[in-house]
Amino acid sequence: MTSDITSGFAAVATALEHEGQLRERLRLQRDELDVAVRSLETQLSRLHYEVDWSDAVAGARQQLRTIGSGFLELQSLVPEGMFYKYNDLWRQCSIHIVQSCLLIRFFETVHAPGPQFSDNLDQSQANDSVETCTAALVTKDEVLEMLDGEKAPTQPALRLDLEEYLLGLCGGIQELARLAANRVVLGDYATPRKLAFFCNQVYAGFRLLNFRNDSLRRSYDALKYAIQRLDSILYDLRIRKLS
Amino acid sequence: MSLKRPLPDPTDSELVSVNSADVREPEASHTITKLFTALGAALDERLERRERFVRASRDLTMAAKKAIFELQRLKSSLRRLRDTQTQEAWAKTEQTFDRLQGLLRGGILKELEATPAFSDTYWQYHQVFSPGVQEYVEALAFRHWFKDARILQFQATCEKLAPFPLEVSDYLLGLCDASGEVMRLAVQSSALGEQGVAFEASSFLDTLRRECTRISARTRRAWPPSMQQDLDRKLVTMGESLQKVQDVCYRLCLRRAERAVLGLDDRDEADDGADAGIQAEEIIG
Repeated sequence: MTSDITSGFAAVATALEHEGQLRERLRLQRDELDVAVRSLETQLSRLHYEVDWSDAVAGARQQLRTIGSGFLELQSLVPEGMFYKYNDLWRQCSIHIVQSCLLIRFFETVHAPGPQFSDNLDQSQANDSVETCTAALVTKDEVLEMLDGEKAPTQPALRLDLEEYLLGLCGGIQELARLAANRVVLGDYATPRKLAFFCNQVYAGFRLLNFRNDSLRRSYDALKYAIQRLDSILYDLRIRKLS
Repeated sequence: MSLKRPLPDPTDSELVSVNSADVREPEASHTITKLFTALGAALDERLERRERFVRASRDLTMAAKKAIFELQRLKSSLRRLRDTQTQEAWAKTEQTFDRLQGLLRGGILKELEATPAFSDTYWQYHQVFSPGVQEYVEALAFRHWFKDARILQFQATCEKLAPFPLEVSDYLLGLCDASGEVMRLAVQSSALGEQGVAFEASSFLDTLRRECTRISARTRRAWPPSMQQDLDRKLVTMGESLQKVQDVCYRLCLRRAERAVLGLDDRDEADDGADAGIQAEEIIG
């Protein structure tokens, strides 16, 4: 009777061994991806300290290529149909990638401040209202395109979960709110305005969604504080006639 | 503080200027709204599907629990007898288990088959419907043990659940839960004067726990942390169950030895059982 249990568990152990090996391999690959994602975020943190963001954004774009190929390598290890069995491993990576893509896309589509923007407040203000609208929100497909780079479309496509994308957007908005205050520190009074406009639009979009009580719901709930923060920054600038 | 204001309202001067910009170049705002409308539809579809899995899982759990209670109500000595009454009672539980399989097919399996990518959806909602499947495995494993005092093997369980694809984790976690029912049956039976079950249960649970502990070293690598926590928790409970059964065995042996010393014959056994019943209730409780 007892040897029954032992022999029966041998088959279970073999199955678990295979699963364990795969998960281990995925974990190693994920750790490598994680390093690349972190250096992407380091690139983007330059937005907080450099008045001209074109270098930081271009550098981040470059870094995305590396991430894309690493991500593809990771996902190609996953057997067909088992995406959701293993995606808890790289969920955080995905979220951070989306978050960074949101920043990159925003700063690529919003007009850069001229070199003399702080001397010439009037002009930058004149362009302001038009500029606020040019910033684009990165879509899920665009994130995948950005990761794929110039690779041939014959390669197996990367996958991104819907919730990962939405969580990434929430993270991106939080990041933009933080950025707004630091742009003021840099003397850039025009960008916070654009940031606020953009974030308001995205927040309005989020309000169209139905949530259940999960991490996405909590991230959404936290967005209102980011919006509030942006609003108070704008108010601070306005009452001091800085924007 | 005067700088702090509530969230912007539509009459806010800031928003008015924003809105005037909107009129000039409404494209971006329009795109974002359109994007989120599409996202909202996709998210709603997920929520609804999830809800259906939750319901199917809950139905299966409830039915499986009832099946387990039905088995617990049978006298454990029934499995030894071959009279017609036993056969009838056993046949009735068979019907109950047929209904369970029907629930699995009509609930979780049907919902899975309604989606374009079976395997993908299976894993996407695995955590959601897993409790129901585990409870079903628990009922099956308990019934198997009830009859033969043997473990229900993974392969045999897969065959019973087919065409629903059973995952190793659901099998293991369901099996762990079944140990609690084995303990319950053993303690109850000994209380009712049948001693054999407790000893069978003790040796079964002991081996099962050793094997499960051994396998938990492998699952640590193969499973996500939340699932591992589940198993670890169940192993603790299984250890407690084993302890309870071993206590019963200890008392039974002591009593038997006592009887031999005092030179009592076996007719006192019924009294003995009733006595042990009081203790049994303490143990189960």
